Amino acid sequence: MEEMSHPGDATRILRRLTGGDEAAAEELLPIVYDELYRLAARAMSRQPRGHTLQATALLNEAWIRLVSKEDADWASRNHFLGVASRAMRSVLVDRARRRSVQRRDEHGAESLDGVEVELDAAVSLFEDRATDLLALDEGLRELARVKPQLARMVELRFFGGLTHEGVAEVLGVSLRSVERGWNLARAWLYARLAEDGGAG
Amino acid sequence: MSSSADSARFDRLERLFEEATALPPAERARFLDEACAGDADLRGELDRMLAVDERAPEFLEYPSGDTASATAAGDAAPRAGLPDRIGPYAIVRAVAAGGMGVVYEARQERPARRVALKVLRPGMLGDQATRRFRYEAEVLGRLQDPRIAQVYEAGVHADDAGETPYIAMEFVDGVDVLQHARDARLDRRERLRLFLEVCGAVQHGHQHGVIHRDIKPSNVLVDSEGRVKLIDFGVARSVDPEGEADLTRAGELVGTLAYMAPEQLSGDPAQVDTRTDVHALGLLLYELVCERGPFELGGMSMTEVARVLRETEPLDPRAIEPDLPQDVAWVLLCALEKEPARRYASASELGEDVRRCLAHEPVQAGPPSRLYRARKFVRRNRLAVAAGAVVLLALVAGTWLALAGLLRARAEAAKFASINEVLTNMLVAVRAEEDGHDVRVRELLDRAAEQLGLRLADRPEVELALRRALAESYHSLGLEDEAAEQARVALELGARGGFATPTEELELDLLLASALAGRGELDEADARIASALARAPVDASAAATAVGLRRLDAWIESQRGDPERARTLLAELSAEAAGTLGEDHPATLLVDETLQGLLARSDTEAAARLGRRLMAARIRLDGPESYPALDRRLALAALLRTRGEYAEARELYEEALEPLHRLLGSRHPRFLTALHELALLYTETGERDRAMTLLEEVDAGRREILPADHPDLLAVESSLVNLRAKLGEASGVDSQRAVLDTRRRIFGADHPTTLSCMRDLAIGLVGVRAFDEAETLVLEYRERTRRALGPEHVESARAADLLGYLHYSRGDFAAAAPAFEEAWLGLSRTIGPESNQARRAASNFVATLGRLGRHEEAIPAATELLAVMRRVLGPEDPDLVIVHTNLAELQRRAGHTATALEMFAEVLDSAREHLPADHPHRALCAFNLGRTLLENGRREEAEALLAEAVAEAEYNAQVPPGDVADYRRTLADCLAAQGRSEEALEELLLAWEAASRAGDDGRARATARAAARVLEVVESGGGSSPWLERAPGDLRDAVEAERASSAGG
Repeated sequence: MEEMSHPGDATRILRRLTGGDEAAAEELLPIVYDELYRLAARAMSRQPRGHTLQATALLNEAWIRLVSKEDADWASRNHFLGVASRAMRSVLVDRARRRSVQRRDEHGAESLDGVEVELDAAVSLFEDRATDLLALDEGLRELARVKPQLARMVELRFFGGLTHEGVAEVLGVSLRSVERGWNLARAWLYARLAEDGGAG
Repeated sequence: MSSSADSARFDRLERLFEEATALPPAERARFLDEACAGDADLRGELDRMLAVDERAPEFLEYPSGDTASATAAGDAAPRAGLPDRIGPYAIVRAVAAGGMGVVYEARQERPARRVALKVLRPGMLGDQATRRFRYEAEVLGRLQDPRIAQVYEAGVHADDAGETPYIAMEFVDGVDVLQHARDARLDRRERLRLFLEVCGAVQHGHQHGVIHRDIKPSNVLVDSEGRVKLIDFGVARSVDPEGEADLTRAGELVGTLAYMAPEQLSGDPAQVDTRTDVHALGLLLYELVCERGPFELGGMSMTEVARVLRETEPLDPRAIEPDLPQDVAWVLLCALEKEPARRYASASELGEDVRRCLAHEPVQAGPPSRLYRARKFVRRNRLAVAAGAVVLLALVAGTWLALAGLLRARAEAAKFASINEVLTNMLVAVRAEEDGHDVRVRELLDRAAEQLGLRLADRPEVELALRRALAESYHSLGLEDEAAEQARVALELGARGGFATPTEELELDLLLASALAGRGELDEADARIASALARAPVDASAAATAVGLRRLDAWIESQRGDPERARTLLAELSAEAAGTLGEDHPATLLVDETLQGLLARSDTEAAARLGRRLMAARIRLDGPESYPALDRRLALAALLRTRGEYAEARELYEEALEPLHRLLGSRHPRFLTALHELALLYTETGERDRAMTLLEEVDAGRREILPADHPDLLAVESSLVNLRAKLGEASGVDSQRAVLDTRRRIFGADHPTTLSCMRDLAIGLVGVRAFDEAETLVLEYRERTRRALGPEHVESARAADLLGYLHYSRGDFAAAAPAFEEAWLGLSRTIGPESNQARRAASNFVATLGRLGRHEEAIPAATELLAVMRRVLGPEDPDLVIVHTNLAELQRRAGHTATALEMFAEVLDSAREHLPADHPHRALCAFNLGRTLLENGRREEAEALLAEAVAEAEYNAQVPPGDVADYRRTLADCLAAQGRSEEALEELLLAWEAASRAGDDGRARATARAAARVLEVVESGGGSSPWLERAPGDLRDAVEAERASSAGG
């Protein structure tokens, strides 16, 4: 039998994370990553109307499935999304990378499985807003080298859908610095991608 | 590749970027020229950075889908490039941008409040439109409801860029309603209650003459305190009276499009009214309860989406959410009707029905009406429409006009047969699409029947054709009185004015005879058949009808209680018809199907053979998912179920149910019957939870469509009652009694359904140990069955089985044994030794003999049972282990030690191989062999096995503690026999503990007795054991008591 991470695990880890134990994030990450994958596979069978809800839906479902109801307050949700945003980034960037390989490899193109189709839809959705996920990922890594917190803000907002308030809470900084940081990071990444010939 | 990512350079970039964004756009270039002082790279990068809002406003916005709403979650575009003020409002940030303009969060100073400012792109509106815009906004401002975001004012802001119209609205800090429902994990009832709030808000708008026009999840927000707020009420119209501008951006349109009603898609604003909002509310509710929309729109272009929305019916919500109550599904489908006239007229009507759902009151919405379905049928079958629509119209309205049209159509087409066919098909289709109840169709028919004589007095040939069609329709609905009457009138008309074809009279005779037989007038039906057959021309034209008449004749024989003769007649007829008409001719198939039904009661194997052939024929002729093919599949499944071939029966049921559901709907009697049969199968295979779920569904379904005393409803209720009784719900018996009383009253005591109910009640009574009442009933049941069906009938064997069960349960094994034997032999003869019931009777017979100590007698029966089980289940089935064990145990008890040892060893091997690791019988098998070895002095071999049994049992919660006690005590015996007294005593301590856990005094005493014996051995050897000092007090007392009594005795 394939090992499923038990919902209780995530709840327990999340409690530690909400309590300030940063190391817990590393433990939660693979659980959420797996869950996102599993949900993407399942989403194939019951596609919601249109396609704009999928990305949000994935994170929400992961949240609902992994975290017990008693722990479902807003603070822990933000912390969860903090981790989930990183998982989401990995899932999407991994898929975008695989896809670019598949594109180059003519024979591989036709053997997409269900999860891949579903994730491709999500990748496209995100690429509508960021042109090229691989380039963005690279930009984020570069940004993280000089200003890790700015990269994190982008991750939280873009991949996790957190509000400014949520970002401020997860990072423990003021709302004002989130707003400033976000504007800067977003503009910087845009400039970087535009220079690469992608954005704009 | 940028080289900007070193820290010092980045800091500089940051500082310049922030200074530049603080400046008005016009002044930025000069500032940067100065600040960058020739660093062209730096300047270039800053230019690109500052361009992000203009060139890519959505860059890195989270793709959440609700772009057009004023949600806080969408707090989006950055400060850079924002206007400072619009009208009296200070702009805080952009919340969303769309094709028509931008929505800002802004602040008003007086009164001090946050507003959402919807700003149109400059120049979007002309003068006249601007005036209208202000007027509309004023109307919107009158909407004052806490659940509607208040519109404060509309204005026009003039600056050098031109005139910018804007609307200032209450700023709502919230998430969209679907999001909220998911985040807050609302259950279905909570979602329905939330939806009621939305209905209330929309109704408020409607009362003020404002239609929302754009209800969709992103416009229905819920604030942090869980309150509903509708935004953009009526705004679509005020900013865009012609409904065009919004369509400028494809992405936005698709998002909006999916929530449009069909009349909105027509593009005629005049067609939009309150019912348009009802449709949108329906979509919203659908998503709230189903977590998806009712249409498959994935990956479609706008045109395709529009087509789907206009033309396809919503997915049955219960196909997505099977546990959704029927009434909620109806409400949804009613709100989502394509034609506005068919929907709820207003949001409050819709809300009222939702409230009824919550209160479990009956709703106004019903199953989509039959007429409507019939109309849809016509729509789908354009080929038949020319004549078909006219006929249907005649039926529906009964107007002279329509009939005149029919006459014209007939005069032109002159196709009686086709009119007939169309009408029948249509009614059958209406029926097939029905949710089961045929009242409405019946009304149609009745009205048509009434009209016919009046309207067609001068056209007897047309009247005849229609009467015949009516008779067939009534007959197919089981309304035999009406069918007979119409057939008679048709025959009279034909007798006066002539029949259209030479065989028409014969066909009508057959129809009339069928109707008569259907209502139980067998003699009259017989006479009709005899005279028809006497008149039938001996040629090919009448061959099929003649076969039909003779089939009916045979069927009547069987109804009269002579199934033997009926079988013979049908078998002959089948061979003859296959020769003259062909095996696949409908008349031949009907004969064979009747024959299958009769064989099912006597020779199930032959019936199954025939059933397989007929099923294959129907699949070949009509298609695998046609009704006839499904019907055959179900008939075969029912047969296999009685034969105990559960796996295949189950597969057939499960295969047939899905297409049957699609074909007939969830409330069709045939569907419910099949579901009921499958539930009974689950009951028999011990899957009681599944059975219960299905039965409850069948019960609910039948309650909806049938009167309270309808036999089918009673049948499912008695199944439910029986199952509940089996599951240990004692209240079952009272309901069973009530069911039986009803049946006695309605059908009489000898009717098969009454008898089967008697049986059920007897079983229930035994379950609650009311043995005397049960016995009276069982004897009555056996008596009536024997009298009605003869001693060789399967029911008589079942009666014997029941009697055995009764005696066995009250402990009268001597009386139970012959009853079980009679049942076993009888069931083997009638439905085959492999049948589940025969097997169960055999196994009961064996167990009863075992109880009586008549092991030798039991061995042949047990041996045969094992052989049958092997045949039926295959050599690897876990159940075999139990049967095999029982046989070995019989051998042991009968003193055939060698055979018993051999068998126990075989069983153990097979258990180790085939039983799952946690199966309690693994321990039992080891124990059996170990104990028998011990009894034969093979102590060391025995010890290993007994230790294995103990180890298996100790970690397996499924092994009852009483068994654990036995295993341990036997192991102790084995140890003691080898002189290892201390180890034996340790084991007995644990055995005692297990026996106490089981609350089993007998086993506790046996343990104490064993301990007393061991202690005696120890002491007789001059030793003593500290064991007794360590034993718990109650064990010590028990041991002392044993020693005292053995010393005394």
